[in-house]
Amino acid sequence: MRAGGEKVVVDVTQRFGDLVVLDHLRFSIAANEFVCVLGKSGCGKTTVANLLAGLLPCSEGTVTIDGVPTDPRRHELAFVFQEPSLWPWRTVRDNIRIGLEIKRVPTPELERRVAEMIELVGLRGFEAYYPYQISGGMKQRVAIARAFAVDADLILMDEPFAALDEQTRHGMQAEVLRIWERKKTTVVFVTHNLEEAIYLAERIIVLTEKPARIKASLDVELPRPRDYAHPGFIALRKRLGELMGSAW
Amino acid sequence: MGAEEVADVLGVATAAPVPREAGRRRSLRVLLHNAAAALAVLAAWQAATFIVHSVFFPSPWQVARAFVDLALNGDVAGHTLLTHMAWSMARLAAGFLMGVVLGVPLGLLMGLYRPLYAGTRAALEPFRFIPPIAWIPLTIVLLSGFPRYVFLIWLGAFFPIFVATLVGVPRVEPIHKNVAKVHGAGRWYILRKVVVPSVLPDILGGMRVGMGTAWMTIVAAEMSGGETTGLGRMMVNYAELIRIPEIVVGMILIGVLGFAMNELLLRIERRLFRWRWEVTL
Repeated sequence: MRAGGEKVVVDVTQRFGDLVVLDHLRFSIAANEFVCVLGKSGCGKTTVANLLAGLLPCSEGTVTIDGVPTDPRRHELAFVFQEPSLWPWRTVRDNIRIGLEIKRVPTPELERRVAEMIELVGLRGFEAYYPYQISGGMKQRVAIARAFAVDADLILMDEPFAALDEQTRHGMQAEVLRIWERKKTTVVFVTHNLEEAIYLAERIIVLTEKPARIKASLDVELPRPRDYAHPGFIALRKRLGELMGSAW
Repeated sequence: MGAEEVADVLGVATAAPVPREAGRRRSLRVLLHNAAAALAVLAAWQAATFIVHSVFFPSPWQVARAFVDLALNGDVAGHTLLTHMAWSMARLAAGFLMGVVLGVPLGLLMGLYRPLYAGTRAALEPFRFIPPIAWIPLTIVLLSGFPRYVFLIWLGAFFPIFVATLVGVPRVEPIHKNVAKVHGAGRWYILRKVVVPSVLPDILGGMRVGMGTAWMTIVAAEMSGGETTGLGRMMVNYAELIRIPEIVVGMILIGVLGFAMNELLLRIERRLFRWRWEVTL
């Protein structure tokens, strides 16, 4: 845990019927921190993201942001989903507006922020395109632009690049970091991909298998931009592999 | 370099907009094909009249003459073709509009609150299977004139629109709603900005089906008597006089007007749903 206080505090047990998905999961996140939640598929990572976003009520315990239970109406939240989430009937520009529109940001300010984000994710010239006209990587860039367009207290990313090819994924990871460094936002990035977590995170929270508890919380202090061949990178990958079990 | 060219070079855009020039050339070709097909039907009809010699089998020429006569001089009662058409269309428009105004909100409401539909379907659904034409005897007794027609057309238009809306609502992608929810959107915003745009293609599809049913209903309803105007009425009048060409004029007009209205709805659909891959037909 680095300096910056405890902006987001999670302390939940989550059940779906008799199934315990999260078992006394407890962690906190500092302001402007980039945290990766790492776990095997089906361990409850998405549930963590949904709880943080207020899409799911906690069955026991709380998730608070600045001391207040997480609430999409009171907090500025944003979510980058794994599945295609752009509204197909809206153009690139109008998709990026959604969060600002809902929060009733005045038009000049809204236009300014949309233009800034289009510039930042390199989509200039594609503002008037519909989602079906652009590639998968571009669609996720629009989703990222939409998330960063609001001054979010917390941005959730749930395996946002899982459906992209290797090359595009690396490009997008670098891009997310660049935007995060520019906008200084708190990000929780959920993934099952070790390299992705090491490349992105300031801190990695490793979950156990279901019911998920915290297995480890590791600070990543490698210099940026991170190099996959760096000895520290390789050592950390090995360590995480051991933590996650034999299948890795 | 424009966005299209950039997209082309990078190969990023999976479907660049079709160049206008090529699109226009293609639609011209389609138009020519359709004109040729229509002419072929006409030629076949003309050829048939050379083989079958009967007063009950009119030639295209006789029908054309009847058309001009009806358009300029009117029928036996003095109503011109335009009057008949105008009345049929006005009744259709009123009934159809009522079908939309009631069918869409009710479909949305029952689609969003399934228990409402589940709890009333046994009372609601049987009405769907009574063809509008089967209502004609009852309406002859209970209603007259314009309201009778509007009611019958409403019956024909309402159910296709209502059902299309109803089944469209559950197909709204939950993830599209979640995007709005995460940003703190309320139910009203989600209804207007997510549910309605998602269901709109289904609604338009229902409207086209409803338009077809409404059109069938109006002609049948007009044949049931009462008023002196309307294409259906006109045809019955000439049937009583055993004047075949005028009947055929009515038939062709019904076909052509129905086709024109369907085309109009298709145009609206294409304009509204530029964002869709599939062209709905």
